[in-house]
Amino acid sequence: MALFWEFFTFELKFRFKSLSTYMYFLLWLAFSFFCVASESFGPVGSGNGKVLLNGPYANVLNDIWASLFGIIVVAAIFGTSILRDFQRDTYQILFTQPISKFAYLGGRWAGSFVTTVFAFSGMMLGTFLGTFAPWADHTRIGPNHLWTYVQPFFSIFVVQIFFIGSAFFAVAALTRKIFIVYLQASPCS
Amino acid sequence: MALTINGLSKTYPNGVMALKNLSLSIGNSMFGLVGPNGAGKSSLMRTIATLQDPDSGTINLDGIDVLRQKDAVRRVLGYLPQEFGVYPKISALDMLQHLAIMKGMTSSGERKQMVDALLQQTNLWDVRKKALSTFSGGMKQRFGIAQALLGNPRLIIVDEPTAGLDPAERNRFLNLLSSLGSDRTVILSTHIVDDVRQLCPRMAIIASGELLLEGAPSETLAALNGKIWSKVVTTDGEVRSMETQLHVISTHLVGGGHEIRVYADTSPGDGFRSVDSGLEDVYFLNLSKQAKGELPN
Repeated sequence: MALFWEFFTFELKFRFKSLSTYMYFLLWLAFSFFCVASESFGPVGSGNGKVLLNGPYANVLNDIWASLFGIIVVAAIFGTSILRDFQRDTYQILFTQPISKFAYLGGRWAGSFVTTVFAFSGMMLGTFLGTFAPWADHTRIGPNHLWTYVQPFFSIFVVQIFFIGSAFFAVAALTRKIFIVYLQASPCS
Repeated sequence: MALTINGLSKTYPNGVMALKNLSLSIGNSMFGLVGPNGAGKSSLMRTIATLQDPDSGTINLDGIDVLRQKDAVRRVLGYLPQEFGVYPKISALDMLQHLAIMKGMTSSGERKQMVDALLQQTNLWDVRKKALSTFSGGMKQRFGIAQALLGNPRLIIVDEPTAGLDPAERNRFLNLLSSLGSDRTVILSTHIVDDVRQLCPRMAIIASGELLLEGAPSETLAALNGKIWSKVVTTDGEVRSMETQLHVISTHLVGGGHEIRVYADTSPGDGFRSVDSGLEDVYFLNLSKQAKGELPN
């Protein structure tokens, strides 16, 4: 258990020191922000003019569009976390330690999962910030209910991250080639 | 601490026969494993270090079946690979802590003590907070030996540790190795014969996956006493004619001429003088015997 926790926290530390994690977060933040703040951006804004820009329907649709790109990011995060030791040639030092498969794979997976959820949460924050944009069409922006943000996020996206991330993780661990993981990502998106 | 290797064989998918029925016995002390590039040293080291499996054969470490009880071996093992990478943006201190936890040092006080001591011992204390990716070659090797020494391992395997180090770093590294103490087994795999001469009371020569010689350097040197002859010749032609007639061990360029070292029971001719045998003579002699088919017997 202590070893699992160590791999988990080390993975988190590693990811949160990395610029790319924050770039993904900002990317989704920006995308969702403009989906709400601008009428000519995104599926809902430029669609039927009667749909609320920050309502549950809009949230789900905007988030789905943002996630099309997200599949590649999930592949990047989950795939690289398990392949890092081969890419960086650290596996000779790591695999001669008395570590259990559960701790190593589980800790890396859990760390990737939390990192990906954090990156995707940029969508919620972006939409929320978008509702405050002074130039947005406020006739189409309703009151902010936390549940309209959180519910689609957890029921759809976190679940997707769990399944798709795990699939990529498994493929990466079995094939040991990051190329195959990205290849798997492209038809999925 | 006895490591017994029996009949180890390994052929890689590309057809290279890295190990051919190798059998070797290693006891408590520094053991030098010498051989040319491609001899199978690294394959052997990686097999003992539980990174790869052989096609056949057994390895026994004090009652532990190395091939089947990998976890038990890893608990007492320290391994410094020939080449290794590092994680970006992680400091030496963080990485040693991370590896120490993997080794099973869950108590943070004990861990801190061990990590600090190792950083001091390898002269990395001042740079402990710097990222590993900024380390020079010598510093990286020192980190490598520091992580290999975590958890007080009983079996330490260092694979070509001084290749690529400048003379000062190499000296420092060898001093560090020699200070490791005699209650553990250290296997030093290298192609630099001089490292073995300085440090190892026992050695083995392997080439092309086969064991050519095993014994104490002093004994192997004594066996060649009075049988090494040296002569300096000036032309290539002379060198070539010597090579066909006599058992030439090696030729060196010396001040514009060629120094030929020959193995013979008595003086092979004019101009030859008897010289003290060096470990390199032992090494080259065994390699040439293998090339002629006289070894392994």
